[in-house]
Amino acid sequence: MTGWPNSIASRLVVSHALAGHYRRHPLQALFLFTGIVIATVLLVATQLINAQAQASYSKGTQLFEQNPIGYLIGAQGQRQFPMASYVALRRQGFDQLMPVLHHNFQTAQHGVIAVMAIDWLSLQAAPLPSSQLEQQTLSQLTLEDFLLPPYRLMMSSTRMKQLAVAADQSIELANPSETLPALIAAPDNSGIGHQALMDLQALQDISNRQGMLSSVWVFAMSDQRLQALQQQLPPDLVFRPATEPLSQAALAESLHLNLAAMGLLSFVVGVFLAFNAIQFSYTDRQPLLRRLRLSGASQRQLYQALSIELIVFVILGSAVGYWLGAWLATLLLPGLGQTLAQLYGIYISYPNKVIADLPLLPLLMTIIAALLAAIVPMRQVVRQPLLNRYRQQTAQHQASIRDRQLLVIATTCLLLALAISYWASNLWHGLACLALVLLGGALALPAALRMCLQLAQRLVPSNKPLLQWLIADSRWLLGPAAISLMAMTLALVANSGLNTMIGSFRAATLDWLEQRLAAPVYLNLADGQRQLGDWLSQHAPTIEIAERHTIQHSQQRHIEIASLPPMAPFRNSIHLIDQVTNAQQLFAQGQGIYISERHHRLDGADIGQTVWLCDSAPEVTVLGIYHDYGNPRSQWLLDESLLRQCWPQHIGQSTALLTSDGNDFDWPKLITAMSDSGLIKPEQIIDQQQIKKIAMAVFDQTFTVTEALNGLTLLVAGIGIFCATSAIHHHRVRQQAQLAAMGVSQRQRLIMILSQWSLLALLSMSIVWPFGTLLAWVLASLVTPLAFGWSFSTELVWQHYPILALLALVCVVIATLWPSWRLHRVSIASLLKEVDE
Amino acid sequence: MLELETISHWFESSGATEPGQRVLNNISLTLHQGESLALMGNSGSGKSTLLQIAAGLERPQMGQVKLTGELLYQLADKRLSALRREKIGFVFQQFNLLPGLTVVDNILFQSRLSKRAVDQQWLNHLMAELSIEELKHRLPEQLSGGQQQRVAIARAIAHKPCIVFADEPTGNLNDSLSHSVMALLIHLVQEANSSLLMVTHSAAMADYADSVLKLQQSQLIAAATA
Repeated sequence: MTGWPNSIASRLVVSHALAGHYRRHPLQALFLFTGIVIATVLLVATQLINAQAQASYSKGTQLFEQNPIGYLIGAQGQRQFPMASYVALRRQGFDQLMPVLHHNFQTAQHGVIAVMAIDWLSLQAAPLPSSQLEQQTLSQLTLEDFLLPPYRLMMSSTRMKQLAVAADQSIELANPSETLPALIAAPDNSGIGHQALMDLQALQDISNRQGMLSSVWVFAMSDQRLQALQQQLPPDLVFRPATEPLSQAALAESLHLNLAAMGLLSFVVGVFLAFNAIQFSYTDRQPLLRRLRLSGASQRQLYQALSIELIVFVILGSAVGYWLGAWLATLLLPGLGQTLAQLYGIYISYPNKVIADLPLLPLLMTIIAALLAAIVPMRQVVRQPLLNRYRQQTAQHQASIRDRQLLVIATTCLLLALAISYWASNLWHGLACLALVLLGGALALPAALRMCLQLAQRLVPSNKPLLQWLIADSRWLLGPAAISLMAMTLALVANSGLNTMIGSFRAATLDWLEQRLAAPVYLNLADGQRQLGDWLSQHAPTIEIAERHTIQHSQQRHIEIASLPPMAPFRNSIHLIDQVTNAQQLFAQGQGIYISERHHRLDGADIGQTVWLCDSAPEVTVLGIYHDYGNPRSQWLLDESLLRQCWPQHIGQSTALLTSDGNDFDWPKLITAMSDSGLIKPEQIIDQQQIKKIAMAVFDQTFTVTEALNGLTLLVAGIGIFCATSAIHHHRVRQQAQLAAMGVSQRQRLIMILSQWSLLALLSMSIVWPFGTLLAWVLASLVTPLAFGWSFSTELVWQHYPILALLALVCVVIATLWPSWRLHRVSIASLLKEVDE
Repeated sequence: MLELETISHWFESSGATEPGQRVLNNISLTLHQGESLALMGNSGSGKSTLLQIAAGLERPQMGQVKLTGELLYQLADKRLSALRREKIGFVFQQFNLLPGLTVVDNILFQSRLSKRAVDQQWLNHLMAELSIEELKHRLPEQLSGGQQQRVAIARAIAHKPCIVFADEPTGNLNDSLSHSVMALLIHLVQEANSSLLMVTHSAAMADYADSVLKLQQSQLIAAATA
């Protein structure tokens, strides 16, 4: 019989025979499916999160799809100015303006709510036709609710969930005299993201800033009109063009790269698991494939059947992985938004559901990776000899050869990593080095375990037969379990490296903060330094006021210029990494600047170079480089005298108080007196401890998303161990039957199974600890400096290592508990029956 | 030594409780110290099941098993495991040596498990008789089928058990090898003063035992003794 229906029928017969394996071993099917899902989930989640952020950046700052072309802000750096300036401009016919006030409120839960207040009617004057705007928004809110008392505070649903509040509720503030209006959910196109939105007058009343504005948004107008506007500006205002979307993206690039790297790590772990599952299922079906070949099935038919089977798994697994990834992205997006807001001052929008665009790249990567992972095992199993004796011997021997080959590859990876670390000049080099260290560690594991077990076997006394068996059997177990152990090692090395790096970074930042916070008290004054000065000269003459100025460089917009007050504590707070001779003296004389480490590493600036500061100071020498942890912008530090050369009228953004003689002072008493006098409000006073607390909270927040993903990767690895133990369950039956028949009790057998995996997990620490430390060094000395421009030394905290070992142990015990229990509960007769089959 | 009293057994999944549908029906047998008994029967007759019941590996639905005066199925797992360690030896069809342990470690495994002192003289004698002295430090995967089965026999007898249970001990061997292995097994069991309960489908192998019983239609039928 010939013809294509018969060839399809014969293919179906072969496929059906092969698929029967999964009816008997459903856990192997689950294992393979899970590996593919895992490979897809985090990759999709991180890509969707990054894509959502990029979409926000590309739109730039927006409010209800209105993009300002620029802003009117205080000319001298003042953070607020009288509304009268704006009113005057409106009276001159400049309609495309919208007044804005920003204010941060402290919540009762020690969080911060960033509120933006606008004049809604001015927004409607923007280019988008008001009717269209109203149609978009009125379905979600009534305008009167927003404009009239008791007012409403608009917030995205995602942010509300993050704060655990619902619409119509109010957020409780730390200051009981301040009350925010009830909440209303923002429409999807609001673009307010992490901020909350309310009516301008309402915020002015609540914050006691009547008649004041933070900025004025300028909407699209012709060039001539814009020029006319700039000419009409009162002296206290200056026009600043809107930030290029590109610079937001550039600012947050490192954060997004880190997220992408975590997604890739999880992808690699998932591919490991899928590869492991594929190997298991092919190895177990070797006798079946031999019988099919002997029955007349061709190699081509077998290839086709196995390929179709794999494609079905990949499509189903990828589909589920995508759905889970999208769900995860929705959960993680607010965390990222908070990080971006706190770290970079960037606000991304939160859609009610994550972008629906199908991320083809992750799906394609998963499909290609799964197919590549299957090529070698598929070839081996289809082309195996039809008569195959001493299979066990061959399998063990092959496992040993494989482990040696992996060790060679691991060594190559490490040598490459060493070479790259020496020549690395950009973040991609750093990430490549990171990947090679991770991979090297994972690939070296089987050989390391084999050596440890060989050594252990020599040390075990002969009168301990169970221990002898445990170690000997662990060597056998390395064959099928190696890959899931490698996946676990990957996750643990990443965990270890990240934790060590974060710990070191935290310690460095804390040390640095201790040094930099030269004054005991800082004041958050909008202006009013003069009144403060007058009051202090009467009531506390030994107290000095230090002003700190921050200005954006007029040409190189990514550079922040900051002043250093002349007092000794501030001078001494700057520790230079590198400097010219007599740097401090020259700096104090206003003959040069210091630059931040980020500016040196990422922008290529160096000591001895000259830079343009302003027209009055066109050539200024770079005298030194200092650490500036946590600042996502490049910074120049100058003496106040040099600042005044360029910006004589500039008003400082923050004010510090310190004693002129350096002696102890009763600060609480002074603060109380200042509050009682009505000079300042309590919430305007920030002491050193508070600053440190806020700074470290921001620091911790920065790594929240990374740590969440890190934890997920560890969970993924644990799932891999679970799948591996379940999949090789029937291979263990033979061992269990023999042991039971020879008088090893159920309890002893259960303890031995758990002990075996625990032993492997603990021995894996021989790789995890050194490679984790190496990874931490790469992160601290290579990746972070290249990504953020911050370097710090790696500090090894010894307590971290036993905790990691315990984590590995717990992970493995939990993962192997159920499969071990299954094995433990099976009767010996059943075990023997399975052996005989 | 070994007493099976009115053993009846069926598998729960079959739901067969009627006498005519049981795997084993009201079977009794006694094996004295030093005796050897072969159980024969067609494939699926229940002979392996009977062996496993006798060895304390599967609880019968009805009946009792007594080994050296102890009722096996009234013992807790800890005591039963101890009994297996000390008084029982097993020889499986699939050899079932512990991979990763050398030949000598395999042989001594059960002795060491029961914390008995190794009788070096007996061990040397066993290995000489079984011609496996030179294989002492090899791993099971480096042995042929016949060599593995001889090591399995050594393991089953090394601790001088009261009784050896053998399930198709020559099932995976060719004819000439089967005869030599069976002869060795019988000889060494006699030397150790152990009893032997063996399952086989081969009449030729059954002839090595003192007596032969046949399982037919869930009943035990006496057959001609050797």
